[in-house]
Amino acid sequence: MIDIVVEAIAGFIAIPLSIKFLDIFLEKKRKSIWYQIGLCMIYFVVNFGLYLQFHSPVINVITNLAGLILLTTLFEGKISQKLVLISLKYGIVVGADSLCVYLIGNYRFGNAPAPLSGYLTDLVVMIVIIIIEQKYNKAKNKVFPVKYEIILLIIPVLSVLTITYLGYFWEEGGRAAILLSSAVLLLNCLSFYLYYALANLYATEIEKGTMERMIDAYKAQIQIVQESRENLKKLRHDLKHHLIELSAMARKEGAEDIDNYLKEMEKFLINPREFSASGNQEIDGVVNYLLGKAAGNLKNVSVNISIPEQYFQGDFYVCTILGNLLENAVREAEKSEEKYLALQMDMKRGVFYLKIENSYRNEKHSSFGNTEHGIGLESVKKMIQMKNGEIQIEKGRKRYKVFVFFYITK
Amino acid sequence: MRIVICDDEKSICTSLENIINRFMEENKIKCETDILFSGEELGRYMKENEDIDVLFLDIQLPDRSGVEIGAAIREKLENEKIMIIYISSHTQYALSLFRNRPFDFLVKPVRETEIRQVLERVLKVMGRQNDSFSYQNEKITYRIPYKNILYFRSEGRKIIIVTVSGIKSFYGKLNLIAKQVPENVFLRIHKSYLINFDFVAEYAYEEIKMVNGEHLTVSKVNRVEVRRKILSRRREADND
Repeated sequence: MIDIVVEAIAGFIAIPLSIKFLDIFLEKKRKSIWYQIGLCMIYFVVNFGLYLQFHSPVINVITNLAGLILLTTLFEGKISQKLVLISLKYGIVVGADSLCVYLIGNYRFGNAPAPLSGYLTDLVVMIVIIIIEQKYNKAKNKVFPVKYEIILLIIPVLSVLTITYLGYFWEEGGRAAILLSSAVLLLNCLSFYLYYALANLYATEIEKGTMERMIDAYKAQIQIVQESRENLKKLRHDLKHHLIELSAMARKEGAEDIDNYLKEMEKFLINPREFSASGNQEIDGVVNYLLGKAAGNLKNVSVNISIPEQYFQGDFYVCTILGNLLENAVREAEKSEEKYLALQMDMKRGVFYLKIENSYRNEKHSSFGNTEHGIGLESVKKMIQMKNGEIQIEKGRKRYKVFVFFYITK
Repeated sequence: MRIVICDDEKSICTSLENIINRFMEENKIKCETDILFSGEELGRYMKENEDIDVLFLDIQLPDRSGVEIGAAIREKLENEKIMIIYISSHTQYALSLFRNRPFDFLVKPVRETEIRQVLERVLKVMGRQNDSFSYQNEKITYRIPYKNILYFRSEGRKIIIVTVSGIKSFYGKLNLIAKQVPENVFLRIHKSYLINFDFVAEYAYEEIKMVNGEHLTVSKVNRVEVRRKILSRRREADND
């Protein structure tokens, strides 16, 4: 009876350790305390109950993993990322557990381990989590592509298989078993170094891609400004001539001629490559650059921007969100027959609102597919979430609409 | 309905007036349109006519800026009902303009399609505020138009109605009122507050500032839903 109580307590301690571990890498959702307690109780009761009933290592693995998956519902993040994290964590538990049971006594696979080994395992796992938290405290919300996640998954999968093989086929135990368990534990701890390095590498790639695009946008914007300045200079220079022409037309009472002449002058002044002139350099740059590139390919483009001048100067998030969404919309509109794109952006009552509507070919519309700059849906959504914002998508038969909203905190 | 156009360029005023009159005729709406050419004229006009619904206002008037006039309407006259539509030859707007809570911005030369779209949205906004809220107090039934209600607040068993002309109260439950009033006019931000969208001065994640200067808390459990509803309402206003 005492053994069961001791094992139960050790099993229960493992649950908050798992939550602590996930908290290093993922953002916690706003859930009530009762929901969290309920979840932990379900995990514990099912896991420990089935362990007591069957004492089966295979069932243990399944219930532990299922319980960890349940705990991930307390956190934000994509499913593949959560799967990788719980697998890596389980790899550590398996290594630590194996090490501890062989350290304490002669363990045979399928038998109940010494009750105190559970506490030792919890202690080892806790030390590992503390070290990971110290070393990788900036790992929260880091994402990277699925192919890297698959590579990382190999480590815990092989660890579990190795320990299982060790338990089933190696009856002697002893020093060799302790050494092998230590190696598995160490390997799984080091996998976090790999996780962090991959995440940082991917983040650097994204930033580099964004910077490159911003530089291109700035270059395009500078060119537009220079062109407009040149046109204005020419107009000023020729103004006397134009006034003479207009006076002559007025004397001849050629109202229609005057109107046409003035329209020609206006066309000369308006720069066709300037879709946006809100006074926010980065936003104007991104819009003019992306729409300028697509100008020849789109039939119907409408841009309506009403935001305070210079308000979003240097705002990396707004420019990245806008740039990513607009780039995807332009790409899909260009492929479609209608070639329609409408951009609306405004700020009212402390709220920033962005709407992008585009036509698309009736195939799979990847509004958030990875662009050549590599930013996907998760990164854009995360940026919107960081501003306490909301994104909604509406897919019609021919039109695709994206709505973004967030509070202006300045 | 009364629409005022205030711009020093006569051609703009005439063109706008023609488009507005055509639009109102097509929609069979009785509308009076007046033209003014300066801020001073507008000031004199507003002293005699309080019931302006829409004001097309040039940002660059010769005597006063559209910013000052907008600020005077909102702050000195405390008038939130007038829908101000700024007209400008520029596409760059100062932050101070946004503090006047304009309905929209139009860039000269203004196209007929743009004016029609704005007027359609104006009609939509006016339409939803036409109904009234009725309640009983000491066996007498009272009616308050939605367009005069800033928000409802619950204090124990009592409901406080904060209106443009003062505070009313009666015994009731906020949950029942929330079901009674239209969702696209009122928003539940807290178990104690039900606010009118059109009297919000500024939205923030944790609190909302009303036009009378009060800051009302958005409860944690409501924050995500409030955000969703603000966006949905905006989409509805854009016909989406």
